[in-house]
Amino acid sequence: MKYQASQGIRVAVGAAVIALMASGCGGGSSDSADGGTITLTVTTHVDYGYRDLYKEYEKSHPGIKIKEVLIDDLPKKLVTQLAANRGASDVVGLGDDIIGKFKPSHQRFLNLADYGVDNTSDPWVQWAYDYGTVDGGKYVLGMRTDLGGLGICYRTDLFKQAGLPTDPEKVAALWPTWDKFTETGEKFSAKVKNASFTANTGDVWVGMGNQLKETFFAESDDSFIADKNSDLKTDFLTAANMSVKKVSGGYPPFTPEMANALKTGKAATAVCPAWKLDRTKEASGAANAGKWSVAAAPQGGNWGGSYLLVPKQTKHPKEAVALARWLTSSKVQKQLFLSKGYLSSHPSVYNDPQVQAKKDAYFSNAPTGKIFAEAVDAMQPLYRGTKDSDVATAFMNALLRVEQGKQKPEDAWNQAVSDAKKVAGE
Amino acid sequence: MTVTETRPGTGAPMAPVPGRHHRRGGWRTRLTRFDLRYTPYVLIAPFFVIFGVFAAYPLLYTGWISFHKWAIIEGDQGWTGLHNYQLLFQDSYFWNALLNTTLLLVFGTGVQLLLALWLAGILNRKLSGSAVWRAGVVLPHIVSVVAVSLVFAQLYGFHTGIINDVLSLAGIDRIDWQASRWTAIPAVSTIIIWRWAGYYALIFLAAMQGVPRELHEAAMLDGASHRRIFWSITVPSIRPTVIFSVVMSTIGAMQTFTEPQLFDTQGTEGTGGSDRQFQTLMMYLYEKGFREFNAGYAATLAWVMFLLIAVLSGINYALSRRIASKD
Repeated sequence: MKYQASQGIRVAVGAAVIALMASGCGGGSSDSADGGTITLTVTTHVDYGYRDLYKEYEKSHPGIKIKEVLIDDLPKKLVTQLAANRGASDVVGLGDDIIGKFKPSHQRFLNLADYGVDNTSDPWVQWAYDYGTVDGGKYVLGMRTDLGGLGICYRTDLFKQAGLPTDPEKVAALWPTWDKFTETGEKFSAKVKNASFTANTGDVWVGMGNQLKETFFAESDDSFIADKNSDLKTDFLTAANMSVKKVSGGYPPFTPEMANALKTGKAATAVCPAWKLDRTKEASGAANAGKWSVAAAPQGGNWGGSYLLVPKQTKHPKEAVALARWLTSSKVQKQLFLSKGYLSSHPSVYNDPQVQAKKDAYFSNAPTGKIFAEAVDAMQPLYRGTKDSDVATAFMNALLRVEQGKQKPEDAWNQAVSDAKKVAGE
Repeated sequence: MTVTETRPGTGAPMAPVPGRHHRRGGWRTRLTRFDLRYTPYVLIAPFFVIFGVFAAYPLLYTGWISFHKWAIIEGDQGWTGLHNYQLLFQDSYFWNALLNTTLLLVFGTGVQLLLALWLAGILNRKLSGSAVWRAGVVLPHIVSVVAVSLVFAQLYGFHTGIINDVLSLAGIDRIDWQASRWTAIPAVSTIIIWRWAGYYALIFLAAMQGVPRELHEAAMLDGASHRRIFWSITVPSIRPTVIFSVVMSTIGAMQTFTEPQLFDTQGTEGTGGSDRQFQTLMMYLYEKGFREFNAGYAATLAWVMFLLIAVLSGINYALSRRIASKD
């Protein structure tokens, strides 16, 4: 009895160990080929509005199934997947503020130039295309999705209350510069007591920074220049002073508090790149339809937009590139603008009469197509360093310290520069 | 030998074959000896295999990485010896994170264990519907930590948080909980206490159930108060459980991450507030490793944390033994 039992246990234990080891090693890459069907996984850091497009693609490409995954801290997950050389999706979407971090490791992604991707047949805006390449344009790392033409969302009901105009063109004329924007805010605050002029200073700062040619790092050699960049400092002090002058409400960006402020009319303006219109709508709800409008931002510019990349570990490189190329094509981007309001990165689309004529009913029929396209045309491309996203946090935190009343703008700037230096390894 | 005789198949069928019996029996005997001697090792081997693969090997490998300049994707960038350790001990962010972690250990874990003892003491009395109460205290623990932290982060919101609403009703100014260390640490502590007090209360309760009733009754006959019985009889009787809980919760507290990370709703990427006022060691490790992709430095931090936890657990063990054995 005992002998048999122990033998049985030994077999069971052995099997369990093997099973555990096998399961420990399993998992990983989610793409598979079964019964002639190829499953492509697309992981993005936010919702790119692709859901219906996937269905359309599956219909026109029999044998291809698309799996959608959203991970908001995708960069953190992606580094481990790239380091382990397994587990990454077939297509990944990264914001233009983070793609720079992956450029030193571009060898882990396909060179899309090998698959015929260039900027001739269906051209993107040149600077947006260039930023997705490395090695002087020889290595095409990513394909550009949308642009973030810069605008300012504003509440017409609160503007009326403050005796300000509500027509987008007249509103834009109130703030040709960010200083005038602050002045308008002070006028607003004198009349309206139950709402702040702008939601926070962080968004203003990001919008302003994207109007410069260089911010934290030099275009020539990627060296740290934030400490000597006087334009950057001026922008910082302008933003920080909005808290000091109580023009800003201090509702931190991308938080439930900010969403709540937009919904309840506690903030009269919010910095709105094109892709934020959809989010503003969602945050403030159907009840506020028509109370919002959108005008051109001081000095135009761009904030945001993303790239689709294909990790080298994909088992279906050809199919993955084809899907990503289709998702970023001018045809699809035009569809996305008309349905979601995401501004295309193809000039052929944003100069298209149908796009330029687009008005948004939720935003009091403001001519969104025209406003965002003009903002992008007015801008100069910004150079981003490989450590841009690491350093940016130090400045956002500094603005927050001013907003929390912990520091004066000048002190906050000094600490931000020294914090940033530390991160940049200076 | 005796074991062999009781086994089916070894007796009668083998006996009629003369000459071979001795050899076969010897082989069987050796097999039996092997069985007796090594089967227990085989049975406990899975634990050590799994421990080796998932704990010992990563720990040693992490140590190896900490002596290198190591980028998370590209890997080894060259041997640097103790350079990372030197940098770490000069790093003010490290000391800041260590202070915050220690404060959370005292305010969060310390309070949580005392509260757990108190709860267990109450549950240990004869209550009506005791099963309901006992299930109730462990409920907060089974709710996802992410959900709990998000709810608390909203409760503590500056403009729209309920806690500030209540305070302003009482005529107290709204508090920006995240703005300073001395408001953020207590706030994060409440999340930790909420999640873990009930869990440890149940462990304490299980131990208290094993304390002989006669001791209580004798003390009661002598006229001792509930409080006196609790501290002089109940707590000393569950000394091993208290030691276990103190050590386990200390280890947990040293690795505090989710609660403070999610408390920070302002998207500061794991820096724990505008001036790192509630950044813990684990959050700093996350920032270095997964935001700056600096695996070498993160590995160094991991090893220093490991050593800290080992030392602290040792001190804890010694201290809690002494405290608990006083009475």
